[in-house]
Amino acid sequence: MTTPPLLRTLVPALRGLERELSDWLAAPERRMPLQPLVRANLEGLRDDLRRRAEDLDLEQPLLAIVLMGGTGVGKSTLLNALAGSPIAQAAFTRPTTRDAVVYHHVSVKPDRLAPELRKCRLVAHDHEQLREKLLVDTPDLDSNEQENRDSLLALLPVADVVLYVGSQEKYHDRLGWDLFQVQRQRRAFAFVLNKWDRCTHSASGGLRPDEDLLRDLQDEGFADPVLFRTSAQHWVDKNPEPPPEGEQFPQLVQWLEDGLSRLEIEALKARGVGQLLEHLAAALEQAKPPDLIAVAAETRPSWETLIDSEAEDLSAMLLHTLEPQQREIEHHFRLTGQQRFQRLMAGYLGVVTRLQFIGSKLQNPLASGSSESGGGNFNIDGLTRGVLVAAGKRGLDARLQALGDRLVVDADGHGFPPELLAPRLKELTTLDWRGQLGGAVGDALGTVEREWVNPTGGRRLMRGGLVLLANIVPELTFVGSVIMLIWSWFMVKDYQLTLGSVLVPFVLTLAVLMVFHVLIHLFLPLRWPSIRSGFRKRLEENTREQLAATYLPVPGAVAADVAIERKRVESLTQQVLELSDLLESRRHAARIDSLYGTTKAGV
Amino acid sequence: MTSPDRTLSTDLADDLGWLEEHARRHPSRADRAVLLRFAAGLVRNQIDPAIQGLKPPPLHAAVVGGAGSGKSTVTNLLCGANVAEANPQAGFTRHPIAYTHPGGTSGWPSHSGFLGPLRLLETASPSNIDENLFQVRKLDLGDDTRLLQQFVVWDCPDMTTWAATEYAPRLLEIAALADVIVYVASDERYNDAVPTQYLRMFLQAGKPVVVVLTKMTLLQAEDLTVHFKKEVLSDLPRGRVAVLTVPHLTPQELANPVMLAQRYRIPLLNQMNVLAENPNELRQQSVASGMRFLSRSADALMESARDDVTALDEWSALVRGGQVGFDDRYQREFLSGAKLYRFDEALVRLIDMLELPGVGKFLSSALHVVRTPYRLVKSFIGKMIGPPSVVAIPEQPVLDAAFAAWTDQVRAHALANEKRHDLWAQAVLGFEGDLSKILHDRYIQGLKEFQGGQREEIDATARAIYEDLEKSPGKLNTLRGGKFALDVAAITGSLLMGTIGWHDIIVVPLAAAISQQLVEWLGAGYVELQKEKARQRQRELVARHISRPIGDWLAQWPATGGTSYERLQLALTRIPQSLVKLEDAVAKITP
Repeated sequence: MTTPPLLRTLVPALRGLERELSDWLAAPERRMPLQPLVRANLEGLRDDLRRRAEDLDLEQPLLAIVLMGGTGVGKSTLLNALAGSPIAQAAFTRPTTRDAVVYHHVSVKPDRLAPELRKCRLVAHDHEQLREKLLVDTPDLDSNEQENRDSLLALLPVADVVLYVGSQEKYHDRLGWDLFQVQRQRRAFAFVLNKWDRCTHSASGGLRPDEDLLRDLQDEGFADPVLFRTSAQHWVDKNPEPPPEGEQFPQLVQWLEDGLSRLEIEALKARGVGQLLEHLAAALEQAKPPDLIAVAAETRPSWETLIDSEAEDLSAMLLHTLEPQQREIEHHFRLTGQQRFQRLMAGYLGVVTRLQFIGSKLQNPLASGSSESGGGNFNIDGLTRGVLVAAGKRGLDARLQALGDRLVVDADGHGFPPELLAPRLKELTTLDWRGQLGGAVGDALGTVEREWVNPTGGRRLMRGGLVLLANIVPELTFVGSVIMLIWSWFMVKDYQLTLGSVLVPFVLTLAVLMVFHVLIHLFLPLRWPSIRSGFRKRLEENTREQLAATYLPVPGAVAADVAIERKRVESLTQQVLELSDLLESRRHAARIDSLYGTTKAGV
Repeated sequence: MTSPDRTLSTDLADDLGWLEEHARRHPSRADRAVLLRFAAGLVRNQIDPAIQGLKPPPLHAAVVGGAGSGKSTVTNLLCGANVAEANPQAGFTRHPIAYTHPGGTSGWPSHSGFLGPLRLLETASPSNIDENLFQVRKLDLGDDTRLLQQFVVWDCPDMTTWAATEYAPRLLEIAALADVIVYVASDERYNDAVPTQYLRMFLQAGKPVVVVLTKMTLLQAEDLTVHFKKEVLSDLPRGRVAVLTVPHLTPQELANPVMLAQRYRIPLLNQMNVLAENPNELRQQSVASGMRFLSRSADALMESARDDVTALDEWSALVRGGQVGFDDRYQREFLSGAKLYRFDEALVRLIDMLELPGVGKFLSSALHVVRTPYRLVKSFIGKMIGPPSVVAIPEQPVLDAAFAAWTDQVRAHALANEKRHDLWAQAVLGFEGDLSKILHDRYIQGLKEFQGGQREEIDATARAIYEDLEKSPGKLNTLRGGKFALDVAAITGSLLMGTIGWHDIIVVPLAAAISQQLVEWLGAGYVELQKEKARQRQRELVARHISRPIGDWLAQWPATGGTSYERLQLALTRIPQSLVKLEDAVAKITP
């Protein structure tokens, strides 16, 4: 008979799954961090997967039966009794067995064994009935030697069937029982109550140990456990007397030799893989990130509100830091506003403005240059830098930190996991906010300036007219009055040229200039309060845009990242389920159910 | 003895008991619960009775060991009667059973607080009742049972089966009470980890231990004793340990150990008699070493709560950090730009006050006229180069925003750490419940107090600038005189510098202006100083009325309102104090 085809055909699929799982676990940057416990669990399962794949990739799968139990319960004695010769060290000193013993058929080459088993002491036998089975004697699980427990724990993953050996004293010791409760989820269990001779003497009260154990096992879901009551020492001693009543060592031998036929082995292997896949599916389910796409969309409106109000406050603060610069800004605007005026008007305004802004720190105000770029002689960069330094002093960082906190709290209200969001938002607070907001401030200044320099609608018309008139009328007045003067001098008889009459053109021109000045002031006002409200509007818009562009996409991005991770986990789960379906057919092929018990809900 | 000692031991036992409960709720700390229970037992069963003047007899001997190791058999050997139900079901005995003689119960079982939560079961019952009970069974005194004259022998539940987690506390209660521990270990069990851990603790507490190794074949007995001493005892703390053996007994021997196992019984009784030679001394030693053990283990006792303490500290640091942030934000966003107009008004008033009263008014008026050009120039320059007026930011929105930022910070941190420790989960629940509202109410209340206090405070400080002078006319007049002298000196000085001529029209007002400017600078400097003080004062007021009370309250929040953290803090602060006091009390009774 060749290898059952099904199990071996599973191998490539198992290997593929193992590789993919490994890749996923090894991904250097996780979009969603795995909880340490979940990760450890998955890594353990991945190792199991690898082990199973190698185990099944054989002509003839070997069934590993591992003895597990406390020190002194007689695991080694039991193995010796089975072997019919003292192959495992058995003595009265506890703990006796420190190195595991693997009892295998001579035909099994050591390199066919799992790596964990190769390190053990190997004892070959030629029992034909045990050809496809490995019996493993392990160190204890309850002595003061911690290493013994560790080496047992290292061997258990190899086990297909655990033979849980107890004695009258130790059959339900906590250490062993805890281990049993964990391991029963993953492999088949049969039970041996050794030192049966000590269990039988009658007593005034209490259950007989085997009854007590059966009750415990029933509570654990093993309605009909495979339990053998043995007195291994009796068989080792080759005691000629009959064994104590109810002794079941021969039944144990029979079960090992004949009860576990090839059919059972295949079913056990299949079930082992099935259990592993079940655990893997459960672990993946646990590792699967939540679906956050809808939640992310839900957070958006309330985040928008929060960002609006923060933008309002933040721009108010930025504006407030601008206030001390108002004289310079006003000066700058005045200058750029006056560039359209020419000749006399320009000269007049220049002088007046210079006088008016004696205290302004605006550098080199009359140097040539265009203001279109928002730059020119007016140093917006320097101004915004100053604003941001001032803003920094006023706790810009604290504000942004607070905004992050507020957003996290709000998102939590919508059910967005804060542990996913908080790190991202924290990253954002370390962004170059000075730079970002600097852009916003500079842009606001530039925009407002452009609006002033290039007005639209009625204002534009009015300005066009005013500029036109202001550029012509003073000159016309001057020229006209000079002509009048000359005309009077030449044409009017007895005309007395006085200092007063010479001054008339100048005074008249000045008066016209002053009238225009007043008109400009009235119709094209350039005072800080009106500039300020323009700034405020722009600044608020820009800040809002900036904040919205930075913060609003975060939940969506996190959700998208998480969704990618989720997809990957789902695809892994899908593979696991497909494999499980493949196995389903074989799982109940043989009578091995009693080795597993039923799993209690929630265990 | 005085009753304060009484509450002392009760409190200590309570605190340890509470920590034990607390530790049991977390699987990872379960092993700490063992130590805590044993410590609580030492306090209430041994140290407290000793302080109350209770003396032996009787002494107590506790028979302990793993399941099925033969505790009941050893109990029978000790009692000299087949009384304990030795049976093969492991973990059959679920509560402690005391064996004594008919007159052996005077004093001890009725001692208040004795055995803590264990109740005395009045009627004889099977030993597998799984409840917090103890039984007392009385045997008639005879030749075989003569040990009971000195000792109460306790048959205890085991410590190894999976059910033992539930009933091991009962065993620990008795072990703490015991003057002698009889530690039973079978040939299967003697090197088991769990019983060895218990043995280690008993030896650390200075309990005399009689180890009874059981079930080996007669031939192995000696080798096993040697092996046990070498493998197990050598790794344990040194103490009064005797090792005896009771080899495997046949069912017949088991049924009648007194008669049939006499050869194992005699060394056991001898050993017990040696220990009981001087009962008072044995008890005193036991009490003293128990006390030493408690003092030494103080840190380990509180270790189980370390996570909680760390979380509490983290919470407190978080809240305090937020408090600093709040104060800082108020300072930065409001105070640094606050105008404090009251002070500018006060300055005007101060300068006005320096003008001469009465007849001097004419002089002042004259000077005022002379200074007209100065005033004009000054106001012009002021407009040109003085700092432009800046709209002040209102105060309350800044405080509101700072407060919101503070609570958000705490809440966001709690949310992000919700799964790490219970405290954060509790905080999240709190915020979802009424914590936010309570905080907000407290804030509003503090804000009202602050605003009320602030207005007065600022007004008072500003007023003080001139009120001081108003109240002391001497000082005021000196200053006035000084200023007048300065004015006169400046003007006369300028007049005397050369001949009187037309240029004096310029020089005299200039001199008057300079003297006035000087005075104003001085006044402004003084007011600026007061302003700075007022700012600090205002910051302090905000801290006093708003941030500090809220910070104090919030930092303590997890530990208030009858929560487990409140109890935890109480326990953690009280245990070290109680231990020190108890040490004193013990020192008085043990020479």
